[in-house]
Amino acid sequence: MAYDYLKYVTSIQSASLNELMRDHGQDVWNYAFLLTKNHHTSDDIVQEVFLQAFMHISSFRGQSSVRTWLFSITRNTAINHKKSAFIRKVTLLDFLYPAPSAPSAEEHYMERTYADSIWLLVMKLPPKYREVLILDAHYEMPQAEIALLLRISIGTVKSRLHRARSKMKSYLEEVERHEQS
Amino acid sequence: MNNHKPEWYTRLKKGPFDKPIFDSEMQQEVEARTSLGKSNNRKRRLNPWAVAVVTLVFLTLVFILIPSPDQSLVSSPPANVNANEPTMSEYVIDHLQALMSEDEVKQAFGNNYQAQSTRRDFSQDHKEDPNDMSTWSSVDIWRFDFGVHEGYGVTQADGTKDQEGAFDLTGIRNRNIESQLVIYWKDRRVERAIFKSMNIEGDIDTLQIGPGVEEAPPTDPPASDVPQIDPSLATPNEGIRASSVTSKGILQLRPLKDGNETIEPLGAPSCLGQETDIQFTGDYELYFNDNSGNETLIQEFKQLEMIQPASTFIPLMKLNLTEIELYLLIPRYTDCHALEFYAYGINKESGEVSSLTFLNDEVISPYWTTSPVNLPQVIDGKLVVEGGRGAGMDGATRYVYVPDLAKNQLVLESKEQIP
Repeated sequence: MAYDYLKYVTSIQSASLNELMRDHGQDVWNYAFLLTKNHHTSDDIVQEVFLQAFMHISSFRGQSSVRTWLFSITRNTAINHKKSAFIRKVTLLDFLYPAPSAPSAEEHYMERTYADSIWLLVMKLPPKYREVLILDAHYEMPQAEIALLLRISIGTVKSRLHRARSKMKSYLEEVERHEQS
Repeated sequence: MNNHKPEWYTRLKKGPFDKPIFDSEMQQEVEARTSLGKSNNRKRRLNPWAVAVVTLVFLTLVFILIPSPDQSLVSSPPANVNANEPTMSEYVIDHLQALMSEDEVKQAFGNNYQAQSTRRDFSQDHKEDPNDMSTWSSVDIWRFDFGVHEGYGVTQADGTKDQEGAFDLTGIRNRNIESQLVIYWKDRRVERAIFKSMNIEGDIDTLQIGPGVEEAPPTDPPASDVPQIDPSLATPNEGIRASSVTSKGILQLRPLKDGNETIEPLGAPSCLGQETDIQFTGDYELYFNDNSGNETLIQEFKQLEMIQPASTFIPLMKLNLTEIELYLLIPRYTDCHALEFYAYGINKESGEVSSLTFLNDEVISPYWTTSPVNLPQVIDGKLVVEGGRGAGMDGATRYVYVPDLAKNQLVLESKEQIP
């Protein structure tokens, strides 16, 4: 493994950080976006993730791959961001207009730039199904690592994956019916 | 579950977007922030010129601090001894990799090394154990000694039998030598390398590089390799999670008996804290036990989350307003943006305890948020709260509250934008 040595180090040099960002930056950004559905939040999260990695490299013990470790930080950061009362209350109160019920212009723009229209359907999935499906299908993460990352049992991973695939199947059938009519 | 993957899986291999979004500009922002050593303050996009200047300064500092490859590392000036210790290990991490050639190693670390070799004859069916050097049919090592004090003779031990043997640990412990790097060669390529140096706590840190070291037990593991998870996690649904002794009695936050409280390590570092921090989640009740022994329920919490570095109970933050003793419950101790807090007032005259809400421009909130760095304080008899900071914000808002005892509220009197 290219990053094996990281589990023995207590600090990370800028060159290694560059390598981490180069190799995993886009993956981390994508994962953050798939969790948050927000471009700017993902920008914010990805920066925080690599800063945390930079500052806490000693907590990486090689029990999982570097990518899974970075994803774990990403997930925590995204969850924290979502839960943050500051983001939820203060920013909305003081700095933002009330959230519109219809998709924003940014959401429309992001939707148009998807590499494949299937991502529109993936983003419709409930978060817990979307996440497990993406980790399995897009990142090709072994189910044991998904379980480790999400802190759920492998059985739960399998059941969520099953439900995610079933929902995707019905979404795809619906699209097909719509196109035929 | 059926492991056969649906056909549409192939469509998810690519994307979600055609073009990469994490670009070099974002990388530079991270680099700039790491060089500034900040993680939770300014999160807005930096001016590209500022990034360039900061990066330049950082790289200049790195260039000055890291010894030049063709410099004799043994003759590092004693004045830089302390500064060189962390730099040297970083230099090793940065400049040494498995499979490097002899010339590449010389280019990075110079020619001043001690070489040792040994050859052993074994029967044809002999198998080498990668973790037992005595089973290797040939061992070739180079040892670099860094920061040897003038007049000190490095102990010439045999490093071909075991990894420890290659090092002058006594010399390192006695600070006669700053650090040693031992490189093991296989087919004239770096097979593995071990670097030992004294850290500021006086322990010897070991850094290992290269394949095949996963099973090799570190000879003197740094303390940071040992997870510091508190072995004595509190028992869920029992005990006290937060408490403060007031002039009129004791405030106690307790989990609901027969509740669904979970207590577990955070698991990974994030804005929320360190991986070894303890996360408490569940339903809680805040009680006040007055000095006469009477207990009053002050507030109930549903699915409150608390994260703290230790499993023991946390104190409420005490502030003193003119008419009330003010206690703030801050469930988490760190965040990248802001911390939630709850306020409780004890009337200095009547001794009455109440949960205080926040009235902000006609909106009542059961809690408010504070900067994790600058916690609330009392100035001129008023509660002053510096708000958090988020991406895209040029500053923060400072809120000033005055108590309204009749309504059990902290009323926003004024607010101002601060840089």
